[in-house]
Amino acid sequence: MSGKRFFIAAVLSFAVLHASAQSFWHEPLSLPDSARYGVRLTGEGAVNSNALTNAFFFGFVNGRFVNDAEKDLMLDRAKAKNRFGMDGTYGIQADFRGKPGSKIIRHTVGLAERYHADGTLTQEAMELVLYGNKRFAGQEINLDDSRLRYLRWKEVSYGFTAQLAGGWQAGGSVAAIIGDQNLNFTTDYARLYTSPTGEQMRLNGTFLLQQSDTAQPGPHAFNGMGFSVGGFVQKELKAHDAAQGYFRVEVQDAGAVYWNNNSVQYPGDTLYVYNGTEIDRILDVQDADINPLTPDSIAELITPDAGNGSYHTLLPATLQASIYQQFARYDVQLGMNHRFFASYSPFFFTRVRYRTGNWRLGGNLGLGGYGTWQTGLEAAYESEVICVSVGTRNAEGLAFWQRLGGSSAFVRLAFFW
Amino acid sequence: MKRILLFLFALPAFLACNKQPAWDVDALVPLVKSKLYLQDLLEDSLKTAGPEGDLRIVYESELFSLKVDSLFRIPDTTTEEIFTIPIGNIQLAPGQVFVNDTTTSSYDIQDIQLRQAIVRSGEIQVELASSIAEQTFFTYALPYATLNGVPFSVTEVIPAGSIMNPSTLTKTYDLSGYVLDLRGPDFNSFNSLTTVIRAQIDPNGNVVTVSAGDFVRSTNTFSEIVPEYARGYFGNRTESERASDSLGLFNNIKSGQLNLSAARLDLQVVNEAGVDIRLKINELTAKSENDSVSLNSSLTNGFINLSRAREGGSANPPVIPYTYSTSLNEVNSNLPDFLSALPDEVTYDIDLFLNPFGNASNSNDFIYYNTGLELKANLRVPLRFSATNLLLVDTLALEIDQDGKADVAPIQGGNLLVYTNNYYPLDVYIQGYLADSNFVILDSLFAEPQFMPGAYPDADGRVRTASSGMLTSPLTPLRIDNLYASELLIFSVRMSTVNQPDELTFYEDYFVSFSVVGDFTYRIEEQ
Repeated sequence: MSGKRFFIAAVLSFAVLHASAQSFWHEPLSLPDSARYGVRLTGEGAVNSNALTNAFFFGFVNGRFVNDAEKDLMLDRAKAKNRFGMDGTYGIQADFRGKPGSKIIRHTVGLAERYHADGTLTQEAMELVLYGNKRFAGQEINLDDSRLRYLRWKEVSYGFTAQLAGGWQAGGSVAAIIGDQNLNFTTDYARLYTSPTGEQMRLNGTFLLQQSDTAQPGPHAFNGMGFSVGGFVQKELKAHDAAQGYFRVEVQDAGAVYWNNNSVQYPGDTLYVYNGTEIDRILDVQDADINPLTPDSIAELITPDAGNGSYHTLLPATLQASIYQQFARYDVQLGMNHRFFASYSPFFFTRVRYRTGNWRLGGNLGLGGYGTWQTGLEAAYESEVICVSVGTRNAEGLAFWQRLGGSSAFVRLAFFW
Repeated sequence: MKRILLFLFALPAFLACNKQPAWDVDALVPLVKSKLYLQDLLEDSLKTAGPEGDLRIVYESELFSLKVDSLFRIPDTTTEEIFTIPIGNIQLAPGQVFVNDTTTSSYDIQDIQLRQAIVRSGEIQVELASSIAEQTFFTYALPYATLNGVPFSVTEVIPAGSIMNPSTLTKTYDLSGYVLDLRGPDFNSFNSLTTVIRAQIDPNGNVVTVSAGDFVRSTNTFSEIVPEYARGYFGNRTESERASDSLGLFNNIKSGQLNLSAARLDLQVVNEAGVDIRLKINELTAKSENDSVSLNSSLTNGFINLSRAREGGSANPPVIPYTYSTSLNEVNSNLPDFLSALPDEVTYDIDLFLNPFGNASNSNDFIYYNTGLELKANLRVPLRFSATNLLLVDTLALEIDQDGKADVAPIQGGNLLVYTNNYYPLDVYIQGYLADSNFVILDSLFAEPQFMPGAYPDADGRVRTASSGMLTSPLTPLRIDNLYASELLIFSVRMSTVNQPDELTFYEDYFVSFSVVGDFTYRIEEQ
């Protein structure tokens, strides 16, 4: 990888999003035995797709031009249904131990800004996006069940962990949410037809476009409110006397954001035929009613029932089950998760870390999610007062950025006392 | 550690990054759909349709107009009368009238003998001078110029003066509305106007002594006299008119051959003057840049005698005009050839003979203001013709909203495709040029003139099936820039009828429908 590419990859990793839902944001902070309090700063981002490649995603960092060869590689990867997702979180989290003797052994409060985007496109929709409609002249483009969603919100959370009998632990969390931005576009049945000569385009379908207050598009707009809850149960496992481990089932981000009355909704169920701007008699245009189409006028034509009003968006909730086992020099985690309402496929992952002194060096491997397969590397320095960890789950995407679609990075910095 | 902290806190700035990838797509997008009717090139007043929907050009024009009142104006005329004391010293008592003179002047109005005139506008300027050493009352009168039956008469007071330093007074009087009896005091003459001048020592003044050389002088100037009405004998003379009139019918046709099958020209000559006129049209020629055809018809081979109009009726002015009408067509003239010259102007040479039979009215010729002779033409040309390489050039003003330039900026190149369905039986080669306001060509619409095939009529001469075609205009960023910089679009259309040499009828329901499609590469990028 050239220096320039590495730079792009590094910037991307720092810049955006997180995809696999194996987020560290909800992972409990491991307080050393000697510490009662801990504070952790987290920044993580990832993007992944089973079709789009990093040649495309890097453009969100540097505006790069995606050439035809790169588009061809993406199309080669395309399936009948193609998905992509982006996630990003940066925030601060504080943990402190419960009162001695209390069942509540841990309290957690957090403040974070979070992003999420996901989408599902048919192969033809993806081809349309990448190449335009000319190659579909005389054909119908299948846009059924397409979905595009973007969410941006802030949350303030509180959580607890309780120690139960028999090696069981359970916990819960609740978060208050300020919604910043949202865009939802979904189609049920949608077909776009371009006549062989291009003289006519027809859009036939049922679709819904929702958008938070368009007059307040800023990154810190207060356009909605919501909540989310989470919880887990965990059973301690011991492979042998020296080992520590657990089996854990958890739910994250189960909640919704209610967008205010200034939000707009464009429901459409129509057959819209476009022949260009129609002028009855070209040499008599002073009497003609010429209304060149604009994006707004197209929206009005195909979504006559558009209007303002509140709606709600379900957060991309995650259900995850995993087994963790720590051995003398290494630890292993196996698990799977699924994200609901998020264009996601079940994701299976494993993670192995090797310990030497205060360092942990690890790797991970995953299948599914927004991508196909992924592998990552991570490193952590852990002491009684500080823990620093960095890593990526998409080393493959950085190495083969023109062919593969995953990019991710995380940085965590924790202090204990 | 410091770097890690910096990274973490820089993360929000990276997340706020508002870039997006760029890539090219090949778009095929309908842009404009419309119809072109050739008759829309003509103003509504220039076209009509027959019962079968066949198009006809209608052109009405006042080909020639001569207001006869402009033929004989009453010229500005100045008369001067001086009354001088011939001898010795004379005592003049207060109130004594020492000048009382009646003079009849004859005015030279070419060979016209006017008996009566009503002044529409005009004035008389009276300039008085006196060396009499006493204030004098001066009366100037036109006893045969009356307004509402009252003769024109004014009296002015002129101060005392001397031979060395005579007193003067200048006054101007409006003569509008005055009826002038120009027959003189015996009512048997013409062009004559009688004036009365009277001078009187101020009745309240002193006795004054006048010496040899003392004088009073009256200088009277009739100026800008425009008659509202005139009566008399207008003479026996000839007026010639040779001029050109722009036709405005074929201005946009620059060259080519047009063969019209039929045409009809209704001519109407209206004589509103109370005078007999003989009209001779020596020449009526259609002229274009490349051709010239003179009209051959009975109209140009003889005289037209126009009887005098009569006074009466309820019109204003009360004139019953004489009207002469004739009609030319393809049978009695070469009118189709005349029009096939595609004239942009018509040149005429006309002689007018006034009173060709002498003073037949016994000096009762009359004329009202703003009346005269009019030659009206009403041209009807059925649009049935054959054309070969008829070159039509027209210029349209372009008013392109510059705000839209940003919307087309991402276009990297491609073509504008114009799909046509032509119901006209015309093979067409079309080209367009983008020009600035000084007609400096900036670019062309097409790389080369594009061909649009004409439709073929059925056996009954009617086109029922359009002929399809496609015109291609290469679209480049440079051409887009030129389009936005242009203020004029100059179309050049070369047309030939199909089924040569048959003449074909054009119907009002013929049109060219066209769809403009954008076939271009569009760059999706951050705006």
